[in-house]
Amino acid sequence: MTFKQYKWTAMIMSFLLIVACSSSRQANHLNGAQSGQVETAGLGAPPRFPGTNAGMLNPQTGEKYNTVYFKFDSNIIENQYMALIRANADYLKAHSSAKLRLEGNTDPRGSREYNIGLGQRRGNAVADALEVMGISRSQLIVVSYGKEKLAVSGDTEADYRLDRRVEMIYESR
Amino acid sequence: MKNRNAFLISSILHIFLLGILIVNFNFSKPKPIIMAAHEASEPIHAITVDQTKIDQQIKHLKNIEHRKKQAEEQRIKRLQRQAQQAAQKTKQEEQKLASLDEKRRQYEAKQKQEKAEAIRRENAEKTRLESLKKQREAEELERKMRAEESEMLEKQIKEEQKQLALAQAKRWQTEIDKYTALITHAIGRHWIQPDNLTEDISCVLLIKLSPSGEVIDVNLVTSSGDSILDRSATNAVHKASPLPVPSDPELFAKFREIRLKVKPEGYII
Amino acid sequence: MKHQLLKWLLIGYFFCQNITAAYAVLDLELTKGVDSAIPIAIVPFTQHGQNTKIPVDVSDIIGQDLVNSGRFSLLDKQLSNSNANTNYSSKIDLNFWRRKNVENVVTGAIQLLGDGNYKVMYTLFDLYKSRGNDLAVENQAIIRQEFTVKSQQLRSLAHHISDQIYQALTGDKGVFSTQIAYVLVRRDPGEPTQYLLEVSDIDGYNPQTIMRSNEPIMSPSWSPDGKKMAYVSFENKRPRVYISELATGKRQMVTSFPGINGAPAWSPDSKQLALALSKGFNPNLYILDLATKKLTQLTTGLAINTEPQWTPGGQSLLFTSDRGGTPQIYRINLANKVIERVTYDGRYNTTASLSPDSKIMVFLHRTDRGFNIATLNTENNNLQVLTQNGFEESPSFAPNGRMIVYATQYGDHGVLGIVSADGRIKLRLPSKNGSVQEPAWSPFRQ
Repeated sequence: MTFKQYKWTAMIMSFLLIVACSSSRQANHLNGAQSGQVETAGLGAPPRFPGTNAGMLNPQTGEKYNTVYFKFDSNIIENQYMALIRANADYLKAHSSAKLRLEGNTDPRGSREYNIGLGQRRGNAVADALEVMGISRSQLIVVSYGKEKLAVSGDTEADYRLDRRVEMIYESR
Repeated sequence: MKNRNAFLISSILHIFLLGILIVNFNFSKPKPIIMAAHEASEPIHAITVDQTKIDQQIKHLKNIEHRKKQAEEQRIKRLQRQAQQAAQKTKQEEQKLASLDEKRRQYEAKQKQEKAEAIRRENAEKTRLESLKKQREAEELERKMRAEESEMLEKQIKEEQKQLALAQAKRWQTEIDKYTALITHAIGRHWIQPDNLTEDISCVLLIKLSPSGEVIDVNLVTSSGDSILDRSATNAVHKASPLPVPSDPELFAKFREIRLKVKPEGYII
Repeated sequence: MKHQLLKWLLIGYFFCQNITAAYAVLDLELTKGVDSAIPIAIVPFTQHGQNTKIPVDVSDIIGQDLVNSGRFSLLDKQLSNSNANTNYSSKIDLNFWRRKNVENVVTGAIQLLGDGNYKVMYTLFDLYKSRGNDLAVENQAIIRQEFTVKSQQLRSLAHHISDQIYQALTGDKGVFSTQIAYVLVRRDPGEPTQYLLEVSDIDGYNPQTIMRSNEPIMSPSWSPDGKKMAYVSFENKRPRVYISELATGKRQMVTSFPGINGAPAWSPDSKQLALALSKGFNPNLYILDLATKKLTQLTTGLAINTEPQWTPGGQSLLFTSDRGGTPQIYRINLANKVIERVTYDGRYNTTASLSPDSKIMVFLHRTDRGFNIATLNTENNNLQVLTQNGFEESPSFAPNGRMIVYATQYGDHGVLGIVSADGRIKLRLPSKNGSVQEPAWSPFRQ
């Protein structure tokens, strides 16, 4: 996604948040803003409510926002996701109290506990990338869900691709 | 052989004894007592000889001799008696052997008789079987003439005939083999092998059959140590009853009692 | 004298020859039988007493149990019915049943007692136990038992009777009174996903919930005495290992290190728990002493090391590791820490555990069909693939080593399957409301 797209998404989301939420931390954060105003500086990552299951998806790709996807049997971060990671790094640098949870996931094939290990590898790969960008591990939490939280049901290669991911979710901002 | 040996020994003994007797006899003859002759140089001391004393002496000596003689005669008699006894004993033994020989001869004769009897029976059986065969052959010929048989059936009959002719001498053994296989297979078909056996174990059953093949009794003679295996084998025999047995009574006699060793090694495919 | 002896010996010899010629015992050997299920007839239990309907069909449950074990075939119910006795204690018609080619018959009766309890009686007959046609019940019965139980115990009594019959006729202990723990996942549309840790009878009846959560639950593991359950819970968004006491529901947290806390496995003496802990990095094997809480690290390195399982003797652990490039089964000797590889067939082998006699290892094995349950004979290294679906996982041995429960897909949700250790019989347990996964077979009831 380009920066412009991020900006518009942020606008829409801010609007929705003000409307829908009353007591969440996100709402508090935005209380100061007036209706219609847009925060522009280095937000990048749209906020996620911890514990919520309703993921928001890119309607074109089916991918979740703020999520890095992986090739089969791999924990190498593809170039196309580096910008996303950098955006989060920028945010974390700017907000030292922010904590980012990296949730590693796999496709549904094979042993559950072994997939926990694979998910952990992927989460650690993203954490390493953030570390290289100057983020301290104290701001990062890596949790592997293995194949326990599949993004989609289905057994095509396209489905498996959407399962192999690391979701980046803010526990505190 | 032993007779002759015994005879020889006793003869030798006799001769030996006789020899001794002869020699002894010679030795027992009283010798005149020769007074020691003194040297002329020494003065002769004449002694008055009392005639009575001499007579007494002679009598005394004669007594001694007589007694010796008697003793000798007694000894001879004793030896003779012993020799006699020995001779008697030898005779007895010879008699015994003779009677044993006789008994053996009788026994052998009896055996011969029985063998002859068995051969006669077998020949009778052979003749019976032969006549049966001839009868069967006649029937088959009739069948052939009457019915229109396929080529394969004809060949089969010819083959059977050939086999019958060839196996004539070994008929019984073939039959036994055949029924052995039939019986083993019949029981095996009903034998559900336990499928958790870890060792090479086996049990032995003693099976008693009636002439119709019905299982009269099944007895566990030797347990395998696993009661499940023992029971599976015993039940299999019961379930397979009646077993296929030959109808011929003499052949069936072989199958009246069967000692079956049950040792799981695989499955009937 | 010698002559005499010789003569008698000769006579004796010929005498014996003649005897045997007339009365020989034929020696035969039987080595091949049939490989089939044991045929058994279960006559529906008669119901004594009042006309009230007995709430549980005990003889039906017994029949299902025996058939599901794969080692029995049930005589058609029609035939069993046609010879049902109206009075339980009467003799059975041996000839009738022998003609049906069964070796065993079960008859029984249930009676509602005045105090609301039930009296249940049954007899297991061996049709050939006594010789001939002796119809006296006492001579043909292998088991004759009587029980008095409450109404809610009828089902478990039926399973207990199945155990008795199974053991008498096969020599193995029955597992019909054991239980299976599993994770049930409910994904109702519009609702948050629900995860439940449950325990049920092996036929799926009587499910009881141990724990319910909005976050995943994984890897239930029975303690050897069957009284506790260790498992992984992601509540609070962190995977942690817990132990629950099944009778009371009380639970304690066992480890909560950063990163992975997973794959708990009880030692045979119940004193230790093997675990996979990453402490932030890659998972390695650890042993936790439950009394002293002392933690000992077993494996090192950067590979994924997980799924520890104790060998029945307690001397080694089997585990999964991709230290060789792909996930394979390894074994570590706890005395000298020597590690050796166990699986060489295929590129993906995980989730291994041993039968109670250590002779068979069951594990997850990938073939070109997908992920299947396979067994490895530890004595001759023979590998046998037991399932064909391609979507199997999480195999677990029954405590008699004869059956294996595993998770598979049916339609679009997860169900449990049971396969006999030799692959001969396969069943699918009834579907539940939700997706079932990660089964763990309980030990024998103590």
